[in-house]
Amino acid sequence: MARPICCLSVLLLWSLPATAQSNAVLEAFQAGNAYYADEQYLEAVKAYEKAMDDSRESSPALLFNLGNAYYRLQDFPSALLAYERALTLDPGNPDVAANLQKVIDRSNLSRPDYSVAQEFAYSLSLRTWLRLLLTASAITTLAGVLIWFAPKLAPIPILALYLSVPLMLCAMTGLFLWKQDFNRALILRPDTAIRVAPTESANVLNNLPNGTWVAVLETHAPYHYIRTADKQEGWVKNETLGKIWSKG
Amino acid sequence: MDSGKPRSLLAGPIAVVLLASLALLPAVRAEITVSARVEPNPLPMGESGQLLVVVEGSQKADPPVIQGNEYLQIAYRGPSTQIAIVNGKMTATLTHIFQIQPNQMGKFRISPFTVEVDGERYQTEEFILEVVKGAPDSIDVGRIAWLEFDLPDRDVFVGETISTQLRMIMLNKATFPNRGLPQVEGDAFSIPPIDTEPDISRRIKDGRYYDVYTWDLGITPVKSGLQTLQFQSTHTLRVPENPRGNRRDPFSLFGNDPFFGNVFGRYQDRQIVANSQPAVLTIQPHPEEGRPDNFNGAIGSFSISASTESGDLVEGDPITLRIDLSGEGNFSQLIPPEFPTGQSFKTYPPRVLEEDLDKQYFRGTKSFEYVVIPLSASITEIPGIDFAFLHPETGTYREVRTPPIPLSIAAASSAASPLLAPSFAGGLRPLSGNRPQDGLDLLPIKISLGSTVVPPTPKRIRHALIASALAPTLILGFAFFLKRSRQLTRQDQEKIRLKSLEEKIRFHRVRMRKARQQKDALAFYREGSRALQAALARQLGCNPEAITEKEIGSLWAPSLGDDEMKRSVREFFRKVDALRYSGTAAQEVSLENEERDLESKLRQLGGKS
Repeated sequence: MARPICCLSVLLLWSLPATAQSNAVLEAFQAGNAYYADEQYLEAVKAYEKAMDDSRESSPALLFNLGNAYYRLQDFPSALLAYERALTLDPGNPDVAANLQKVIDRSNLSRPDYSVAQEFAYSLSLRTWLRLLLTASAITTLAGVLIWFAPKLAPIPILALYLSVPLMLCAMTGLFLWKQDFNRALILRPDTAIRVAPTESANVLNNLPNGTWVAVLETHAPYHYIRTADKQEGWVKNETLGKIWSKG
Repeated sequence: MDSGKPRSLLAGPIAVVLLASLALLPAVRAEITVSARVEPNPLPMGESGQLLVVVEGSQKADPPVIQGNEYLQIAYRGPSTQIAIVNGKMTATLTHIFQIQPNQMGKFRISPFTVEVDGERYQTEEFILEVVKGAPDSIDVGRIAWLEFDLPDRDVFVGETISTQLRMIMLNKATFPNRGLPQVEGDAFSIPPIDTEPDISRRIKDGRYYDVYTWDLGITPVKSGLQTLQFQSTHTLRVPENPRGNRRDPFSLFGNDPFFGNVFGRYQDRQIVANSQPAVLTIQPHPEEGRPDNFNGAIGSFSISASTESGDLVEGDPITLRIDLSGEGNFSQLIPPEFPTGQSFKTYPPRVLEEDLDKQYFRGTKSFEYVVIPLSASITEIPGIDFAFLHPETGTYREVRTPPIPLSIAAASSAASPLLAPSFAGGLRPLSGNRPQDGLDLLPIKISLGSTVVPPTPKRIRHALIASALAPTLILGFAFFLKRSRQLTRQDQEKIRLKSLEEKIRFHRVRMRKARQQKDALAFYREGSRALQAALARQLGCNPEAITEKEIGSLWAPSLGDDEMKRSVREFFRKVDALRYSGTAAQEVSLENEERDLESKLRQLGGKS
C-alpha cells in the first residue's frame, strides 16, 4: 500500500510545473549558443550534449539547438534524432517541426512510421498525459467516495464519473502508446553492421544505412539487439545508434 | 452429318496440294552435313561420355562403323531423330549415339568417320578428345562450394569503389535445397545489395563440373588500415544418409556414390558455409597533400559537363542547370559539386536528375540539376563549376571544370520582377553555397533554455500507470471498508436491542403467568401489555413504551400481520387501559383464555421476526 502511495506522491510532485533549470545546464546551454554563433558547430554540439549528460535534464530549446548544430555539421541523422527528442517533450512545437522538415527535405531521411493510434498519443506530451491521468484518477476517486458517503449528492459525482473514467482510460492508453515507443532508435553511422551475436568477431548479417529507424529489443553492453521495419534482427554497437529516450 | 455451315469448294484441293507437298519434301534434296563430337569434352577419367555423329538434312543414314581400342571403349547405343521447321524450312537431323568410356588420360585425336547418306559418302571432321583426371574417391567440404573474387593489385582508399567480380562456385552434382547469397565479412567494407539473379556459367575442375554464379560488385572500404576482405555464404546441402548408421562423415561418400547412387536411400540436409580466401588490403586515408578545398570524397576518374535550357531570360527568371559527371568511381557516394558562391545568383540545393550506371555503380554518368536565379541583368555567364576527385591509381587529386555558359538576360520591369518564381516557393529552399544560413533556411537557435525536465523513463511511466490505477481502487476500497464497518457496528447495536427485548418479553410473560395463577387481573394485563409492547417494538424497531393503543394505527406494518391481528392487538390494549383506569371488565373474562390468546399473539409476532 505504501509503495503506490509513494509513487502517487512522486508523480504529483512530478506533474507540477517543470523543474527550475540548474546552473550547470544553463551555463552549458549558453556556451553551446556562443559556439554556435561563432560557427563552431562541433563545439556547440559537445556543449549541448554535456548539458544533458551532466544533469540528465533537458528542454525542447536545448534539443532544438542541438539539432541545429548537427544540421550545420550536415550530420542529418543526428539532427533528426535531436528534433524528434525535442518533439517528445513538446509535440506541438512549430519551430522544431519546421526544422525537422528541413532535415527531411535536405536528406533522404524520414520520420518513424507512426500508426493512427500513435499519432493520437503523440498529439500530447507525456507530461500532459500524466497530468490528465492524475486529474482523472483524482476525480474518479472523489466521485466514488461521494457516491457512497453522500448519497444525496449522487447526481453530481455520477456525472463526474461519466467524464473522468473515459478520460482516465484515454490517458492510460496514451501513456501506454508512448511507452511502446520508448525502444525506438535511429541508426546514426553509415553502413552499420548487424551481427548475429554481440561480439566483434560475429558474422555480419547486413549493413544498415544511417537514418534507419529500428526498435531496440535488448541490450547487452556494448551491443543492442535491434529489429528493423522489414523484420531484420541482429546486434549493433551502442554507439552506432541513438535512442529517442536515452537522454534529453 | 451436315453442320449447316457451307463448306468451301476450295478446301479439298488445298488439302490435296498440301499433302502432296509434304510427300514431295524428302524428294527435295536438302543440303546434308555430317559432324561428330564428344560430350562432355574434356571427359573426366572414370566417367562415360557420348560420341554423337550428327547428320543434318537427312533421316536416312546408317551408323558409321567405329571400333574401340585399349584406350577408348566405344559402343553403339542407337539413333535419335529430330525434325524442326524454322521459318517454313524443314530441317531433319539424325544423330547416332555411341557411348564412350576412356581407359587412359590424355588427348586423343578422333579421326574422321564416314557416313553414307542416300548413296553418297560424307566425312566428319577430325577433332581432339581430352580425357582429364577423374574425381577422387572423396571430396573436401571446401571443394563443394567456395567463393572467389578479384582485387586490384594496389592500395585502395577509404570510400573508393572497387570494381570486382565475385564468383560463387558450387558442385554441379550436389543438390542444394537452399542456396544462400554471399555476404561480406566484417564491417570494414560496404557492398550494395547482392542481385538474386546472377550470371551462371559452368566450369570443370579436378574432373568435376561446377556451376559458377557471377556478380559484378562495387566494394567500398569504409575503414582505413590493414583490413581483411572475405566473403561467405551459407547453403543447405542434401547428402545421402549412411544406411548402416555409420557415423563417418557423409561427405566422404561423394567419391564412391555421392548423390545419385543412393537412389532408394534417405537423405539429410546439412548446412555448409562457403568461404572465399581472405584478402588483406591496405586501406589508405585520403591524402592530405594537395587536397583541394572543394574535394568532397569523390574517388575515381571523372569528367564533367554542364548545360542549360536555352531561351530568353528576364532578370529574376530561374535557370535549370544540368551537370553531368561521367567516368568510373564511387558514384554511389558522389556529392554534387558546389555552385560557386557569390552575390550574383540565388541558388537552390541540387538534386539527382538521373543515373545511368552499371550494376556496380562504378561506371556511367550521374546527372544533377541545379536551379539558379541570376540576380542582375548584367550577368553574362554562368561560371564554371569545379569538381575535385582523388585518382586512385596515382593517389593524387585532380580537378575538372565546366566551361562558362554565356547568358543573355533582359532587365525586368519593376512591376514584374519576382525574385523567386512562384513555382519554386513551396518546394525549394534558398541556399548559400552548401551551408544554409539562419533566417533563410533553418530557423535560428533558441536563446532561452526554457523549462527543463528530467525526461521520463519507462519505469516511471509504468509506476504512473500502476499508481493511477491503484490509487482510486485503494481509496474506494478503503471507503467501502469504512462504510461496511459502520454498517456492521449499527447492526450489532440492533442485535443488542433485539436481545434486550427478547429478555423483556420473557420476563413479562413469566410475571404474567404468575399473576394469572394469583388471579391478579390487573397485574396480568399490565405484564401482558408490556410483553406485547416489547414484541411489537422488536418488529418495529422503536421504543416499547411508545407503543399504545392509539399509536398502533400509525405504527402498524404489514409484516406484523393482517387487519384481524391489528384489531385484536388494539382490542387488547383497550382492555388493559379500561382495567387500568376504570377497573372494569376484569371479572368478565377468563384469565386463562386471555393468556392463551396473548401467547398466540406473541408467537405470531415472534415468528415474524
